[in-house]
Amino acid sequence: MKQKRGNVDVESGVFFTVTGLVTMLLSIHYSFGSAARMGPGFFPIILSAMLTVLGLAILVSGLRDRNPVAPAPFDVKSVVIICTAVVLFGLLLMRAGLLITVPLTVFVASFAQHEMKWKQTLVIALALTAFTWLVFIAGLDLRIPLLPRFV
Amino acid sequence: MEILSHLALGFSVALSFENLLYCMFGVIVGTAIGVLPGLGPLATIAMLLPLTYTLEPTSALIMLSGIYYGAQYGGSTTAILVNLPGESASVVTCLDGHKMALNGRAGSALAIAALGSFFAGTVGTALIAGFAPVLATFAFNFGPAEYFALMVLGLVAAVTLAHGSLLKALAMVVFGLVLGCIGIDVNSGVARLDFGFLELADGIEFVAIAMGVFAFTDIIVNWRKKQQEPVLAAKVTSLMPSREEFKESWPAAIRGTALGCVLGLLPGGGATLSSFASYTIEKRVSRHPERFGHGAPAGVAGPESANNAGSQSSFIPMLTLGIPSNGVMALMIGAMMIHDIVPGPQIMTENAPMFWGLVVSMWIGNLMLLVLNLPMVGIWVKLLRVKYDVLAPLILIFCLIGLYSIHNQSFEIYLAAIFAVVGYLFKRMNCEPAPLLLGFILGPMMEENLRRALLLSRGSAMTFIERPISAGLLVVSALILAVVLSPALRRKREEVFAEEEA
Repeated sequence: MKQKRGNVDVESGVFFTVTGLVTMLLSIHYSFGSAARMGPGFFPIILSAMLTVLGLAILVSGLRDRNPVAPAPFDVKSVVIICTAVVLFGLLLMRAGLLITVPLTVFVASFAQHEMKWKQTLVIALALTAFTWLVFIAGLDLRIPLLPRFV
Repeated sequence: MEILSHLALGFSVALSFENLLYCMFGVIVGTAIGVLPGLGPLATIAMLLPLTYTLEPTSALIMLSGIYYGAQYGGSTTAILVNLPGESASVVTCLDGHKMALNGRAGSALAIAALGSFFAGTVGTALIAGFAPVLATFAFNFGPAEYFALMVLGLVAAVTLAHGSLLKALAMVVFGLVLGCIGIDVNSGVARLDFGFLELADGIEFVAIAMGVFAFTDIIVNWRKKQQEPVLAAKVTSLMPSREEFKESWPAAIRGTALGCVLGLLPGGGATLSSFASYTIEKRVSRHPERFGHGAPAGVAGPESANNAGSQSSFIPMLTLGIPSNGVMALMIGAMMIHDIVPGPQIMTENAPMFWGLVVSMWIGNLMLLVLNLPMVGIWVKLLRVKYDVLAPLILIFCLIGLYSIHNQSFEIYLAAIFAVVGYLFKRMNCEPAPLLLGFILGPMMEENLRRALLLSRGSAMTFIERPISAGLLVVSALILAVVLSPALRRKREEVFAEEEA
C-alpha cells in the first residue's frame, strides 16, 4: 500500500469552494438589480454560486475516490526564491535602476537551480544586464532608469 | 474577382521592405523558441508585446503571428532529433519522428514535417482569405444574444477539449470568469472585487496572469531539476524522403490539414489539440497501426500538418468575431487594442490593408520557414546546447521588464508573483490553466452581451431561445456537454487522453 499523501481532487475542491464563497461574500454588497437591468453584482454572484457548486462537486468526487491521485510535494524553496526575485525586481527597478536590479534579481533567482553555480551565474548576470540595457534602453528607449536615483 | 484585388492589396502591404523584415524576425524568433523546450509562444509573445507599442500595428501583428506559427515548425525539429517536445504541439511528433531518426531517417522525418507544415500553412492561409469575409458578413447579423451564445459554446468546447477532469476544467473556466469581473463595472461605475487597489480599476492585466501562470510557474517547476545534455539521435544525412515514405505521408498530411483547419476554428482549439487529434485518427485509419510508435511517417506528417493548420485557422474567429480561441489569440487582440483596432466583422472594411497584409504575410512567412528549417536545420540544433540555467534568467528578466513597461509601474509585477504561486498550486492539483485564461478573456465580453441581450428583451431569458442562431448555438453547447458527461463517452475520452499521454 502506498502511503496516502493528500488528494488532488479534495485539495482543488476546497480551493474552488473557498474562492467561490469569498467571491460571493464580497459581491453581495454590490446591487444585484434585475434581469432586465443587471446590477454590478448580478454576474459575480451567479458566477460565485456556480464556482461554489463546482468546487463542492469536485470535493465530493475526490472524497469518494478510492484511489486518489496525490499531488506532487509542495516545493516551498523554489516558490519562495522565484517570488522573492520577482518582488525584489518590482521594488528595486524604479529606485536602484536597471544596472543594479537585473544582476541582483538574477543572483537571487539562481538559488532555485539544482545547485548554485556562482561563476556561471555571475557571467549570466553580467551578460544579461548588458543585453537588457542594449535592447530596452539603448534600442527601444523604454522609460526605465539605468542608475540609482541619487547618482 | 474581388478576392484577387484583396490579395493584391495584401501583397502590396506584406511585401514592403519593413513588413518583410518583421515577418522574418517573427518566424526566426518563432523557430528558435519552438526549438527550445521550456519556452512557448504564449510566454514569448507576452514578453515581446511591450516592444510592439512603437511599431505600426500591421507590422506588429505580422511579427507576433510569425512567432506563433513559426514555433510549430521549430517544435518538430527538437521532437524528431532529441525526443523532447520543443513546443507543446509537438509532443506527439516525438513518438514516431524520433523513432524515424533512430532508424536513420532523421532527414526524411524533418522534411516530411516541414513540407507537411508548409502545405497546411498554405491551405490554412487560403482558408482565412476565403472564409473570413464570409463569416464576417454573417457576423454582421449577430446581436448580443448571438454573441453570448457563441461565447457559451466557446467555453463549453474549451472545457471538453481540455485534458483531465471535466469538472475541474469547468471550475477553471468559471474562476477565470470571476477574475474577469475584477475592476470597475462599466455600467454602474462600481469598483468590483478590487480589494481597494486603484491599479485594479481597469481589471487585472492579462499579461500578468499569462506570465505568472505560464512563464514563472514553469521556472519554479523546471529550474530545480538536474539538467541533462540533450542527446542527438543521429546525424542528418539526406533530406529526401523515400518514395514509400512520401506515399504514406501525403494522405496523412491532407487529413491532418483538414482536421487542423476545423479544430483551429473552435475556441480552446488551435495547434496542440489538432496535433493530438490527428495522431489518434492516423492510427485509426492506418492499415498498419502496429507501425505507429516505431517510426511511421504518417505519424509525423499528420500531426505536423494539423498543428500548423490549426495555428492558422485559429486566427479566423479572432479576426472576424473578436473572439479569441486560445491564449495566443487573446494576446493578439491585446496587441490590436493597443493600437485602437477593435477586432470584429468591421475589420475587413475598416482595416482592409492590415487584414489582407496579415493574411498574405502568413503565407510568405510559411515560405520563409520552409527555407529556414530545411537547409539550415543544423544551425537550429545548435540552439539546443543553450542550458536552462541561461534560459531561465533570460525569460525571467524579459518578462519582468515587459510587465513593468505595460504601465510603467511595478504593480503588474506583484500580480504576476501572485499568479506564479496560484499557477504552481494549479499544477500540483492537476488543473490545466488554459481554460482559466479563456474564461478571463471572455468574461467581460460575456457580461456585456448578456446585459444588452436581457435589456433588449426586457429581462426575458427566452430571447436566447427565440432567436434561431442563438438557440442553435446553445443547443449545440448543451449537446456537447450532455454527450461528454455521459458515462460511456467519459470513459472513452479518458482512454483517448490516456493514450495521448502515454
